[in-house]
Amino acid sequence: MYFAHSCNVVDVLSGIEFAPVGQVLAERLLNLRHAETQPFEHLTCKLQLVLLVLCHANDLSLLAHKHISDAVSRYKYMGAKMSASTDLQLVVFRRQYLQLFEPDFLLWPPKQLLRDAGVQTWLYNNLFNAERISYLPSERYQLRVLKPLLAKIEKSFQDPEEDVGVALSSLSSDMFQSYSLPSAVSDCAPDA
Amino acid sequence: MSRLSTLMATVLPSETTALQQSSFVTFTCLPPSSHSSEAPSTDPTVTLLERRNLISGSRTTGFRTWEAALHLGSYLLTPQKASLVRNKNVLELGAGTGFLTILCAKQLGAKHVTATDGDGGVIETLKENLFINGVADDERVNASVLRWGQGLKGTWVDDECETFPYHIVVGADIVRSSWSMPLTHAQKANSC
Repeated sequence: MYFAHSCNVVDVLSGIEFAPVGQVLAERLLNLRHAETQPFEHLTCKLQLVLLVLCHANDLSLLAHKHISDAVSRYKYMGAKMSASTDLQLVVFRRQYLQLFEPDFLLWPPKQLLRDAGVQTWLYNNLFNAERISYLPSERYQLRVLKPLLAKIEKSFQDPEEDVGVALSSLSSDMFQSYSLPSAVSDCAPDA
Repeated sequence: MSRLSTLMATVLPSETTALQQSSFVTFTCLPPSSHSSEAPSTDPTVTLLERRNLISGSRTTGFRTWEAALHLGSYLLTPQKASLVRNKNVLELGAGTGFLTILCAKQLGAKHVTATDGDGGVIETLKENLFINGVADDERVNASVLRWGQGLKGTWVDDECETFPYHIVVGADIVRSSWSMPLTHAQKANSC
């Protein structure tokens, strides 16, 4: 899913892999089903505040907390931070990728964007998720892009201690775990 | 996530096998000056199955889309030239992967497109591409072998000229050195 400016919050929620308890709470307590038409920026602050309070008040598991703060970080990206130029940079990168540009000639998104967990999720869903994209490039080509992409994301962290907590949660951590296996890397080394 | 793990775990085919394999390529078909940043799912696209490396060793160059076709595509996409194709019957020579044919049928509103190539294998691949793009419909697109230099009387070309008299003939990167021979036949096709 791709959100330009404002969007249906319930759709956003169901699109994110929330811990079930977090999702139920968020939907019920924030009454999100009735908030569909509210501008996104307003919701972002409210959501962040209420969700974090909820986490403590209800003594949710650490996992749920992590999912929710991750989700809030994505909201921030989708709502407030996403400008027309951000949009275009990712969209152009995606178009070039789908057109099988040589990785050297791809217009890679800048590190300010790559750092963002929301951007990472967007990239996964729109470039590599076979369940959402019918006609992906060959696996070989995907890997030739995925490898430098992960390296760039890794480089984009200014303070690893701080950033990794958010950015590597769920999706990204899996990406890195599977990626950092030395054997996998050497087996899959792409051609030059 | 699972996708990325799969990607990492998959044993990649050897280089030689990979070179023979095909890959989906998706072209985003926007006019040259456009900076649209709509949701990716609404981009006007043409998706092709190409065998990019299958040139040496085979007798045809028709399994990949060449630069010239993209340039001609950009030209046809400009607002000034859109009328060349809209509601017209189009004949493409040396269609190869079918990029221009599909562009005309799917994005430019051609009434009917006839895609031709000298190689039967290329035409078969082209038909797959028609299917991928949802234009595999005889009323919209016909893909057939056309060998330049052979008489056209009594062939399918004859019949088709009756049903869908061609308004415009397109061809990108189809002649190498001698202009005289192929053009003669292109004219024949045009005037029948």
